[in-house]
Amino acid sequence: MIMIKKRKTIKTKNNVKLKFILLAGLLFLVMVASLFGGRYHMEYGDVLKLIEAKLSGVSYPGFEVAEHVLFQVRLPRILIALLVGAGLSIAGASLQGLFQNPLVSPDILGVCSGSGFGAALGILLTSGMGVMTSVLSLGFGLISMFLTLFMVRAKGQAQTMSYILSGIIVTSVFSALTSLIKYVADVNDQLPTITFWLMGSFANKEFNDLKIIILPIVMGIAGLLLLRWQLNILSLGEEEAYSLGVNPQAARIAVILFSTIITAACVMVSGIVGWVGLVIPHISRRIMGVNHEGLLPASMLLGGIFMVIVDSVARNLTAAEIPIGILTALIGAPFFALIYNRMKGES
Amino acid sequence: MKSNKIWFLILSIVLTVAFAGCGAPEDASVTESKNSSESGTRMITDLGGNTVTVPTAAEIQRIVIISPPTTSVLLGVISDPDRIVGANSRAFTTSNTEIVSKLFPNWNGVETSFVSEGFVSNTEELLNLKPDIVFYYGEAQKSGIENLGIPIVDMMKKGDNNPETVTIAWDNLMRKIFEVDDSVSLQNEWEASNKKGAEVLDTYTGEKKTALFLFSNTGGVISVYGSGTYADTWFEKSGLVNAAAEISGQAEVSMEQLYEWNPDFIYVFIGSPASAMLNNKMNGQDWDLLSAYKNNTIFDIPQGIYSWGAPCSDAPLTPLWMISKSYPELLSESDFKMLFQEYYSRMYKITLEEELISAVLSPRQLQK
Repeated sequence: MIMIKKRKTIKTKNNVKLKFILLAGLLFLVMVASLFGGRYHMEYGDVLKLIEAKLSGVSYPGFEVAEHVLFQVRLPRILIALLVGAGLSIAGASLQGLFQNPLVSPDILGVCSGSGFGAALGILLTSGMGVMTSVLSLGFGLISMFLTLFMVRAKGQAQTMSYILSGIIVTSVFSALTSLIKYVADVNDQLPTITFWLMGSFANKEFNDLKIIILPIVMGIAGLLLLRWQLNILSLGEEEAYSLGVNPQAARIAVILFSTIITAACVMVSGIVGWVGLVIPHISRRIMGVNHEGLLPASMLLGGIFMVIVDSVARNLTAAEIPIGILTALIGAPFFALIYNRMKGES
Repeated sequence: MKSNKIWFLILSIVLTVAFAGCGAPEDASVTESKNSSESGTRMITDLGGNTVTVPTAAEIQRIVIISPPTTSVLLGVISDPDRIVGANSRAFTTSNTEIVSKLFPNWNGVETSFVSEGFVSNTEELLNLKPDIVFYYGEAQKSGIENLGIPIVDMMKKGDNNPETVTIAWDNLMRKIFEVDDSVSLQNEWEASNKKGAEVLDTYTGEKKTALFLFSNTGGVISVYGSGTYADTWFEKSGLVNAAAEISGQAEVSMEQLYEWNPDFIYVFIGSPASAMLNNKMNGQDWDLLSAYKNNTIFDIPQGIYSWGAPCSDAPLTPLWMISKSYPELLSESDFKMLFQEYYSRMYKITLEEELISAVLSPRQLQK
């Protein structure tokens, strides 16, 4: 009996390992494939030659624009899409685990609407020049989270429902403020910019944007990965968590803080990209199960794959950029309906 | 018996109300018609296809004009602009106010706060202006101002994206309403402009050059005019090919797409000025790889009585200006300046000084 159990455990572990290898391999393939496609026409052979030349440090004369497009336009865009997809998905998976609610997504604490408002304000005040838009976006994302936590604290009941309701209040206020900004914005210039921006896009992102978000997102992801055991324990209930030496309050705040940092950084760079943080954890749960040890890294990888693919579609399909938020909603919502339908059948 | 009387009374009331209701509009229309003939009002069909009863030109003393570019046409039509009591602020912010001042010295006193940035009017504020006529633009601006008893005229020629036909329609309607002779009209000016443009371009034997109408570049969002927009007309009349023709309408595009199109000329409408791109000062955008950057052929669209990138009273000048920029060997800048000056003396009866002409044609300054 023991032998069978042991064998099963080893088999499961091997399965998990295999799944991770497959996901990581798929991510690599998707990223490389994405590098080959774009609106600027390049022969596959030229792309390969340019990559080879870049790796060996030699120049490939006569292809300056192609080289720039490949390494300064597509590459940072792919890396940013990877980070945003991975970040939003792991944040979504963590918050769903924390609140024990499959309908929770990273914008539940009002962070997305806060960050969106900050960016809209930046575009209104500075016409999007300089770093002010990014700073305001990140700043208001964090402010919205603190407001939510403040309300939960004031209520004195740190229950799931308190967080969700406080988040709804904060989201409503910042959504209204964003509408106010849109109302006073220049109807020909700033208003379309704010609208395009809020719909989400990786267009015209460069390495400087990557430099700004890489630290908060990687830090947030690392923090959540370290907390994956606490998330498992928290799902057992507060008393059990205390008995196992985990302070549920501290763990909850830490998860919220890391998720907020990730979400705010994502919104800051790409605008509001919905559905990823809600849908990807569900798919990951189907692949890896409910154990956060496997679920969080799987969500991260799958989120990255999904976002790189969606961005490739957004920039390849038409000459006009298709806002990422539209695509993620169009793909995410029906997918979620499918999962929801299955869940109902199971129950 | 008593109940029969009550039923008879109720029936009588219902029938009276019903007949009165049926007869009412006919009576009102007759009265209106009588009044019309007495006061000399006229029926006109506006560009939205609505039949509107408007007062005689002499009776129109207080004009409110909500649609921004049509104000420029009105300034070219009426000789007494002080009759304009309310306007959309954009009518003045999207223009060269020095030129507007020459035509309308009191433009600063015009009430503009009743129209929000969303182009919606505050009805009560509008009524405070006691307008004799209101010019508006499409259904969105109509709501709230209809049924006020004020003649309202729709200036939106739905589905028409040709600045030539649109501005001619505006001009003709304005001339009709204000009973102004049309010996100098936008129709004549367009004919002259088309003739001059064709004459100049006829001598060109090379390959057609490509151009991009950059609507705006703000906050990292680059939006351009594709096909089915005003750009079609501007470029066609200027001997240019729209590099963004594969896009329909106005859309956001990436820098990679701009590299692929690599247009010979870029005309910047609003948002960050051409100088920001020519100095490669846009965050996340490398303009130095584009031919237009290398050849210094990124231009701000000038603002005269209104921006030349939009249909307006100056619109016949736009194609000629674009030719002078895209094919300077065919129409030099000094020749265009002369055409510009002559146009203003014909259309608005004013003389533009050399300095002002140069200021209008010079690039916009980078703000902040």
